[in-house]
Amino acid sequence: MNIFVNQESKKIDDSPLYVDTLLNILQPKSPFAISLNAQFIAKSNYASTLIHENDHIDIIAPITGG
Amino acid sequence: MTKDDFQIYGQTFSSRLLLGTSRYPSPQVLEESILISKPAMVTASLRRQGANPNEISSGFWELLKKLNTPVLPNTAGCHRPEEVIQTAHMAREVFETDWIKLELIGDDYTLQPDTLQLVETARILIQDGFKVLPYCTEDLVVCQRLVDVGCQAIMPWAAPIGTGKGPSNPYALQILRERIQVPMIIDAGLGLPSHASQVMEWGFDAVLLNSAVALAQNPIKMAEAFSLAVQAGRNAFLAGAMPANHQAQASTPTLGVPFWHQS
Repeated sequence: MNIFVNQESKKIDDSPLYVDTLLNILQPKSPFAISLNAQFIAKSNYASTLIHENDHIDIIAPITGG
Repeated sequence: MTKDDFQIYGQTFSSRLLLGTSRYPSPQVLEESILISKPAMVTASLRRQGANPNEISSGFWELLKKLNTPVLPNTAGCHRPEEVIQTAHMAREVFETDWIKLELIGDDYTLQPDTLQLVETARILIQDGFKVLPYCTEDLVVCQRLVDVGCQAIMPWAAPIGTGKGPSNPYALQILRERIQVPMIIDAGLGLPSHASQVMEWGFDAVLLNSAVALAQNPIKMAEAFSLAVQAGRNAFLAGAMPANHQAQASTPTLGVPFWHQS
């Protein structure tokens, strides 16, 4: 299945693909937050949220700010 | 002197300076600037991992944890209410705080907030349990509406973000201070410690600044200068200034002057 992670195309073989499965594959640096098609996904929903073909997943991290 | 703590949303802070963490020449300079100025909160933001490797991999998170200064996440760069709301929820999870600096940009050239959608966005965030600090203009009615929907503090600008111009509309800011009862933090547009001191003398409760410190030739020294200026302005406000006069009044007693009006 093809998805977009941080705007880059990625091919993932796992199916069905849940957010927590994807995070196990990607191993992003903590702390982070996730949005799926521009909707925030709370940590408590990672295990139950399905990712579909061509979905956009953003992994959001802290940076400096004003 | 009685203790003069700064209280917003029921939380007490010993400092009236809030400091941004962006644009410093190095993480070390940022750390020293925070240590010397002892801000009530430091601001932070969120971006996609990998979007800016230098920023994200610079150990910023570790620095925040080490300094243990309360963090005020912002929604910088958001142009639509739904972007603000999604970002705020992500910030709450990442930074483990309900505080949010609500930034909803309406114009890219001036970075002026979208005041037409700001109030409703603030209302939604408050309903979602956030402690909202909205970045707004000096517009009295917008500020009053923000208070009406539950903002327990508001953050009017002095001038557009990053300009360093200082208060561009002193009259409106002073009227705002007279009319709005909740704590107000002047956010954006300050360039000099004297600007900070000025708005504190007018009775504003705190200031939030970033570029004025980060872009100074010596940010650490400037952070200290701002910290002192904020306190000086606050002390002056509490002390109450003398009334200004058009006519000069000698400060040395005139009674008994030996050559009174003889020259």
